[in-house]
This record gives sequence, C-alpha cells and structure tokens, in this order.
Amino acid sequence: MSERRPPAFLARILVVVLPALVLAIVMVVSIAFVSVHRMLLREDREELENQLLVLEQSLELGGLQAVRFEIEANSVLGRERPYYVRVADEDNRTLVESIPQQWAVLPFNRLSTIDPGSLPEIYRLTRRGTPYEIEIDTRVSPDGTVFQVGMSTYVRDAVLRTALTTAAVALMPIMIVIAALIVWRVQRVVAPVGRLVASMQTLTKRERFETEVNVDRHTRETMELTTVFNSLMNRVDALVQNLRTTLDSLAHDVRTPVTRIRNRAELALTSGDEPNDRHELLQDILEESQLISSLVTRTLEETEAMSGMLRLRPTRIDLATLIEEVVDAYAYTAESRGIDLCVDVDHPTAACADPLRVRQAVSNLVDNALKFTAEGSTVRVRAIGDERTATVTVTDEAEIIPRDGRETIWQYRHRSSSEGEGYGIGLFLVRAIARQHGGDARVEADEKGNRFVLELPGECES
Amino acid sequence: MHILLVEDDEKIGRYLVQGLKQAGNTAERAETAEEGLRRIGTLSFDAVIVDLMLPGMSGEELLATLRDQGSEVPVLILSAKSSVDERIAGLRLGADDYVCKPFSFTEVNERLLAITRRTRPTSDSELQCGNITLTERGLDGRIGVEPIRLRAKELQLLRLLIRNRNRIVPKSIILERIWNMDFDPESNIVDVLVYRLRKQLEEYGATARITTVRGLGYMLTDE
Repeated sequence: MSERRPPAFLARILVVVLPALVLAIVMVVSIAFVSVHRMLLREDREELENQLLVLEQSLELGGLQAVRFEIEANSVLGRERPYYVRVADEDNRTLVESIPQQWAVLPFNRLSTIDPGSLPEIYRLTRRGTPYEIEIDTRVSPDGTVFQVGMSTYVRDAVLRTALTTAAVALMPIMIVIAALIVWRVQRVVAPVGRLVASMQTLTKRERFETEVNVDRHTRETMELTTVFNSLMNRVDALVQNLRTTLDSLAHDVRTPVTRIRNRAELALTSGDEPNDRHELLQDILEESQLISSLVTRTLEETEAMSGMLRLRPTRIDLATLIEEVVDAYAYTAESRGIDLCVDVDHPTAACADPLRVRQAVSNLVDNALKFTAEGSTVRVRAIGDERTATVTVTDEAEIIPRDGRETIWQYRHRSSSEGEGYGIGLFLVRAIARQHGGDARVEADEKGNRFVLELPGECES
Repeated sequence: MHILLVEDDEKIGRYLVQGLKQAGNTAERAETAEEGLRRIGTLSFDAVIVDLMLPGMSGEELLATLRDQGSEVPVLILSAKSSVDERIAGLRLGADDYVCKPFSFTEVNERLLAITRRTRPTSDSELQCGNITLTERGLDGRIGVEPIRLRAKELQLLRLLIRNRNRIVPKSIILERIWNMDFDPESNIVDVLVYRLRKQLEEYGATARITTVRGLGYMLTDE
C-alpha cells in the first residue's frame, strides 16, 4: 500500500494563513463598525438632549406659544432630520405634539398612556414593517411638565450600512491581493527546496554525487540549506570516490598475493616428495596470507583516516607516561643506530585523547625521527600541557625539511626519497589522528633540525 | 586446561582443537551456541572460545546468557569484525578478550593464557626450551648451568617465545605483549629486540634458536 502523500508546503501555509487573514479583517471591520456606531449614537443622543433643552427654555420663556413657534420654526427652516416633539402636563395629557408626516403611521399615542417616570432613558417606538425606530428621550421638569423628543434611527442605520458595504467592497480585493502575495512569496521561499529535490532526483540517476545546486540567497535559511547540501553531497562524493579508489587498490593489491598463494599451492602439490621444497612453498603461502591480512587491516585504517572517521574513545590520559612507554619501545632501535633518544616530560601531562591512537601517533613521530637522524645525533621527545592543550614535540637533528615541503610530508602515501620501507602513511595518520581529536600536527625547523608538533586537547570536560 | 570451542566452521574448528591439544590442553568443539550452552551446563571448563557469527543463536547471545546465569568462565571471542567498536561491544558483553580473524594459533593461545591467568592465579611455573630454563615471573634464568642476565624486554620476549616454542609468534603479538602496541608501527623495533636476544642466546650457548619466518614473525626451536 502506497503511503499517502502529505499536503504541499504551500497548501499548509494557506490553510493557516488564509483563515487568519479573514479573521483579522473581520476583527478590524468589527472594531471600526462598533466605533462608528458609538460615535453616531453619541451624536444622536446629544442632539436629542439639545432639543429637549431648547423646548424647556422655550416653555419657560414664552409658554406653549413659544414652544409651538419653535416647532414651527424648525419645520419651516427644513431641518435635515425630522423630530418628534411632545409636551404634556403633569398628568401626561398632551399639550403640544408635532409628528413629522412620514412617521404618521407610528403609534405615538402610546406615549400618553405610559407614565413618563417609568420610561427608560431612551424609549424605542416602532411598528412591524417599518425599517427604522424612533428613539424618544424624555425629560420631566420640576413642575411636572413632560418634554419628549424623538429621532429616527434611519440615518444612523444608513450610514452604518454604507460603511459596511464600502469596507466589504474595498477589503475583498485587498484580501485577494494579500493572499496572492502570500502564495507568491511562499512559492519563492520553497523554490530552493524544489530545486534541491530535483537535484537529489538527478543524483540518484548519476554515477557521481558531486553537485552544485545554486546557492539561494533570498533567505538565510535557504542559503544555509543549499550551502550545507552542496558541502554534504561533495563530502559524500569524496567518500564514495575514496571508497572506490580503496576498493580498486585493495582488489589490485590482494590479487597479487592471492596469485602467488595459488601458484605456490599448485607447486606444493606437484613438487614430489622433497620436504624442503614443500616447506619453502608453505612458508611462502603463509607469508602471502599474512600480507593479505595486513593489507585489509591497513586499508580499513587508511579509509577511516582519509574520511575523517577514525573511531576515537577519548579519555583522560597522562601523556608523559604514554611517551615514556613509546620511547621505551624504541630504545633498542635508537641504541642500535647510535642515536640518543631523550625524554623530557612533566608528570602528569594531561590530555583528553584516545590512548591507543595517541600511542600510534607518537610512535610514528618517534619512528620517523629515528629514520632520518644520523648516528651520533639526538632525538628529543617533550610534552607540555595546560588545561586547553597538550603538546608533544619530537625534535630531531636530521636534514632540515625545506619550507615548501613542510605540508606535503603529511599527505597520504607521501614518501621521502631516502625512506627505505613502509607505505608513507605514518605522518598522514599522525595528522589524521590529531585533527580527529580537534588538534593538529605540523613541523617547524631551525638550524639544528626539525621539530614535529602534535597538539591534542588538554583536560577532559567533566 | 579443559577448553570448549564454539565454532561452526569445521576447518577452523579442527585447526584450533588440534593446536589446543598440542599445547597440552583438552579441547572439545560445539558447532552451535545452543550446544555450547548445553555442554557448559553439564561440564566444567577452564575457558571458552566463542565465534561471534554462529548459525541460530549468536556468539553475543551465548555470552550474554552465560553471564546472566552467573558463569564467570573466561571467554575469548573470535570474530571477523575487527573494528574497535566491535571489540569493545564484545568486551562489554562480558568477554575477557577478543581475537580477530585471520589469526594464528599463537595469538589465540597467548590470549587464552592471559585470560585464564587473570582469573586463576598460577604458580611461578618453570619454562624450558633446550637448555634454557626460565620462570614465569622471576627475573633469573639459566642456560645450562650458567645464570643469564637479560634486560626486562628481552626476558619478556624469551618467555613469550618459550611458551610458544616450535610455533610462529607473529610480530603483532610481540608488539602487543611487550609494548602494549595494538597497531603496526611499520617499524623494526621487534627485529631489533629479536636480534639482541638472539645474540645473547648465542653468546650464552643456548641450544634453542630463534628463526625468522619471513613476513610472519619468529619461532623458537630446539635444535
């Protein structure tokens, strides 16, 4: 059963972003609507209050006649918005009432039946089928006179309706534009991922893993992703090439001793009864089989070192003791060559390293120094250290390595012309071991000789 | 010593059993881990040699079962996996030592002696080859009746060669046993030490000779 394909990144983004966008717009419009509504309401209330004040003052100054005059004046002047006006005595009997013509269908007579004291601050008068209400504000003067002024909600509702329609018309294209921008941006952002996928698909069909996906510089993340991808693939390619070379080389190197074993075995079977011949042939076979075994071990080690994948088990070691043990192993060799092999170490000199590998690195350095130092000379091994770094130096009195050769000596299978035996991987391994530990190996020289320096991490972090 | 070998490969099995018997031990072979466990349950062994790659139950599982049962018998692992990680994994499971294929019998024998020595304190037994007489731990030795004085490393090498007389002692075993070097330094330090010892033995008039086996190692033979 095939696995269900997950949705595309763009779809995931849109599923989250679009509802959020709609919600944000609805919230903004709602807040604006409520604000405008409140503002209009406040204006209407103030207007009603003003009208009530005018009525009260008119009655006080000129009696009912003045009130009628005021109503008439407002009507004649043709105010933008019509008002309902009612003045009643203390028993709520209507003294003056003005109902704009368009509101005649509304039941204003209801007001004379309701106790003004029991009315809410704003009484809403309406009738089924009428698309607006009349909001009536009531004031009762100290002498019991009742003043009532009413305004229609029609204008306010119309303004709000218009505002809503305008917002909808204006925001819809804005929303569409924003959504389109999001789609465009997301597509641009995920484009490098698409290119990476395409590259990977191509890689699976190619022999080489070496690749160069264009580094996307639009965002830091995609730039880092493409850069890391390129470097990863180039490393994979190097490892694969390294593996191929190693396998080719191993196949070549192994075939020769295998051929010799086969030839010797055939000869042993056909050599008659001469025991000495057979003994010689069997010894040859053993020798060749040992050669194959060493080849395999060495190849594995070289491959690990070349790939930077030497397996280390760092622990706190006393470099001084380790050096003394290595020097002890080479004491007879030095003595037989007439070389003075000296140790100069402080106990303890702590290093955080794999003891087996460090022993190997120091051995290679000492062995190298003894190989190139003439009889009667001195090879000195020192160790110094602090919390951060432990340094081993092997100083010889050999011919000085020229400046331009101080890097090449660390290369894989580099061999000096005077080197008699070995595979030229001693110093290569020293540097690989040092670097794998986070340290380094280098060579310096002065007029007396060469100084090989091996740097390793100092104290282990607890 | 009574040794159990758990090895499914018949040729390797025969080679090891024969070598163990020649070295003065009694040895028997089990072809599977299950059979090995059955034998350990019924007989007492001084050491067990286990191949890791076995049909059915693996060598690792056998080892784990053995240790779970509380058995402390010394175990030597044989494996084609040579990486340090594999070695450490084997030792963590409770093995006492590890030998990588291809191996020489001397390597197996030396490691076997070392792990049984660790668990069974031995007396300072006498080692002899020709007119050379040494003790396992003492500093003194004799060639004929004449006492010999050797340096510590020379003495260690001579003991190693006598223990494995008439067998090839690979350079790798010499490096490991004498200098604790578990790698090939591509150096002639072994040759130099052997040369010195050989010279000393000749000067003292030893009847045993150290012969060089090209590309492999050295062998002490009594002429």
